[in-house]
Amino acid sequence: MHDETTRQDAPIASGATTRGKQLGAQEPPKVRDRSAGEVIIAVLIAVLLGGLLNAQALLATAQRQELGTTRDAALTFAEPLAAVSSALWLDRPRAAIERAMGRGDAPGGDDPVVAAPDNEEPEPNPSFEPTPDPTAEPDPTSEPETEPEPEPEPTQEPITAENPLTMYVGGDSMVGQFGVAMDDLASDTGVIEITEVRYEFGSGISRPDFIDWPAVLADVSATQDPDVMVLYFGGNDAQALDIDGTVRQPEDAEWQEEYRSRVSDLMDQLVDAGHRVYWMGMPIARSTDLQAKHTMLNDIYSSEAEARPEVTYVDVWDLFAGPDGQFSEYLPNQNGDVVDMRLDDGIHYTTAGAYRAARPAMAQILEDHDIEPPADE
Amino acid sequence: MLFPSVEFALFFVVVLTGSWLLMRQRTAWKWFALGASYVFYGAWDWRYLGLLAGSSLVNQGVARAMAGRDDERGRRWWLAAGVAANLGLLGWFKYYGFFVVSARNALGEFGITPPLPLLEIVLPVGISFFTFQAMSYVIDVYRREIDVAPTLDVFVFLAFFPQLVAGPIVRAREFLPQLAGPRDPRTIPAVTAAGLILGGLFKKVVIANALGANLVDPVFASPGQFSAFEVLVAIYGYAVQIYADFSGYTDIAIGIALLLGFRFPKNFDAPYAAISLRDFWRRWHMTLSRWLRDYLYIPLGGSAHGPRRTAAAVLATMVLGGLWHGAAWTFVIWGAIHGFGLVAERALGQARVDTSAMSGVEVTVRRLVTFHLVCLGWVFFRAPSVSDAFEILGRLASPGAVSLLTPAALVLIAIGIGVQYVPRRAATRLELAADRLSPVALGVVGGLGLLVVDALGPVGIAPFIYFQF
Repeated sequence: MHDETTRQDAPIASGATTRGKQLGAQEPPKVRDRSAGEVIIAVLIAVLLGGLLNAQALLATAQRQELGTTRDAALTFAEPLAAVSSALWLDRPRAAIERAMGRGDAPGGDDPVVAAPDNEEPEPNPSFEPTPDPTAEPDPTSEPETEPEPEPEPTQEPITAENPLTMYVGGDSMVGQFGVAMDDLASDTGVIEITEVRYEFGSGISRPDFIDWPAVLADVSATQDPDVMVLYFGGNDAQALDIDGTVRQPEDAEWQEEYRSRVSDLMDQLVDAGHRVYWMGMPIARSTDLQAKHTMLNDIYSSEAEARPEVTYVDVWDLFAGPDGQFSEYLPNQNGDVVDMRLDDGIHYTTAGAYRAARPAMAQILEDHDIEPPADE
Repeated sequence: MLFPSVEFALFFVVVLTGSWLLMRQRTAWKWFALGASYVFYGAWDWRYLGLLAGSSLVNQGVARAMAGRDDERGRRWWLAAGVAANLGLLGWFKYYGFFVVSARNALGEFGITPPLPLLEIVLPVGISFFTFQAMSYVIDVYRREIDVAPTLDVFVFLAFFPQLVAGPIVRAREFLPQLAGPRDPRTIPAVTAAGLILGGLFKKVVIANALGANLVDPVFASPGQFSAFEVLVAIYGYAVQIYADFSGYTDIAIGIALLLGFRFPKNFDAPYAAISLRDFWRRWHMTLSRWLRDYLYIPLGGSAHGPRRTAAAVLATMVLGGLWHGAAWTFVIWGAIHGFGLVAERALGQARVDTSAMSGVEVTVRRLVTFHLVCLGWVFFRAPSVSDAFEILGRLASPGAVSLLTPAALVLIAIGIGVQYVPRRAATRLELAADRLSPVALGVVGGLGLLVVDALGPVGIAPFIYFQF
């Protein structure tokens, strides 16, 4: 045991002894105590009123959930709430706030949601020169396995800093870290200008009722008209679809036919708008169930891309597998240091993982457009 | 289950009502509180409920074994076993990957591959917090500061949902006595609780999320694309983001606990108004600071054995405190910056905490210096790697055009720092004004508060930063 003198002398955190009693320190003097009944009434009113005032947003959140019992239960609660809110004009204050903030009518609004902080990546020991791990897979900078490429689109003028290649990056939450990496790699070239990086959590091609990506991208074509579009979908797409009144699962042939048709239509739309499209494949996931679903999605992406010379499928599956071909969270980075490539969910990328996926995509884009890679790449 | 979510709002309405209805039946209340807390934790991943229950069981077993012995040697043995079990649990889930990766990369230089497999270990949310709380129980029993509590009480203590996943780190001797008797249903400081909850939601949902998405994340991900001024403001932005995120969470936790009849210790006290690093650590994550002080710094010798031993104890405490936040060299360096800073302050006689004898200019200069030292630490804390942290610092010497900053971001930073200089009496005056409201009016204010927070915040809620620690 140490005496109080020692504690008071502590150079850190001696607040408990010198600032008085800490417990209950949140309680200022003179504020009335309330009874439990009063508290329950106030909380019930706050939650109910808060629900009514935010009812449209709650309904949108419920609608964007995967088809199933959870969504049904949420809608059972949210739909009447939204109806009452609308009838009582209680949805107007929020609509006014959103208008004042310049938010659009999209159910999801315009704000991207921040991804989980990526401090998960362990830092390699800085005191040693890096050496590739002899047990690790080949150099991550090696070219990705892509389908046979058509001849690059002839460029009208040489791409320079003054006449840059314009690029849009968009998709679901996989773009969170990946988009930053693409932006950074594009910046390193000095001749690629990013027009926008946009990602929407929980979005995809399966659920246009949440984010209508074909419409979003049509708008991008009209307003930004980028030379290149890099798209990343699939993280949320392997979910049940309501097809002609019947709920179909991703394993069903009808589901796959519908999804293929949506992918095909979107690719046609982008090609017709004159874009060169790079369609990212999903990486191997930790969950074997997801591996099967993502393999199915990747097969649709790659075969549809193969049918169009202007669309390139970028396969990153094996880049995130270990030497045994299975999911590996830890893989060597460019320097050969073993680092954490994936977030704890076994799907999303850490910063290092995002660069591992972005490099082959960027290498392909540079090659297709006759752009010299930066010296340090 | 995140605090700012519909699921939690509905969960809390049920738990609040059930909790007060069952208050007089002590055992039933404890089972109810335990069940609710396990539902809350299981909503993240039900598989880790076994871990939480196992931790409770092992720590209670150690405490009972210790209490049953009179010989100091035997008690110490059980203490060592208890501490080792807790640190082992933390080490396995939190540090195994870091250790193996560091070993492989270091030994790989010499062509050696250590026979340590890289395992896919997922960090259970809140493990650092409930493990530290469990250790406080075992150590306090060893020190005879508390008696062994009934097993059900220990389970409730370690699982109690308000503080389970990100603190504040409530010590056994603060919480267990509150479980001994029923809470008084007539003495709930509802206005204080409402202020903490709504203020916490605003800090987290509006300030932290907006700064993270629109300023901090892009700059820390690609500092090379931004000019010195943008990088500097992004560092300030992160200082505000992490304060708003973490203090927002613990304010909500403390407010929720108050509504359930529990008093939790304060966790933040205007940290960016600190006039020294020592002062900072009396204001930032106060429950971790005093945990480290009582269970690490003082056992390491504290300040009782001369300046050198004190310096060593401070450094060790701060570096280990850094590692507690995460298994990465960035956190080690963050801890070391604070450790060396505290030692230097002490050596120079500048470890001041009292402003009463200082001029306004001196206080301002001290606050600015302290804030910038803290910000230097935050760069390492936030950066994905040590080299990234140095790149960010290097960008501070690269002037250029400013394109990223928006008035909204600057306003949020100003609010996040300015709110720490609001005199306590102003906040008290606001509370007294709200105190005149009837329960219905209080509920209406709460509902309007939820509207403002949800409408101003982005769609979806990013995880709280401290969930990963």
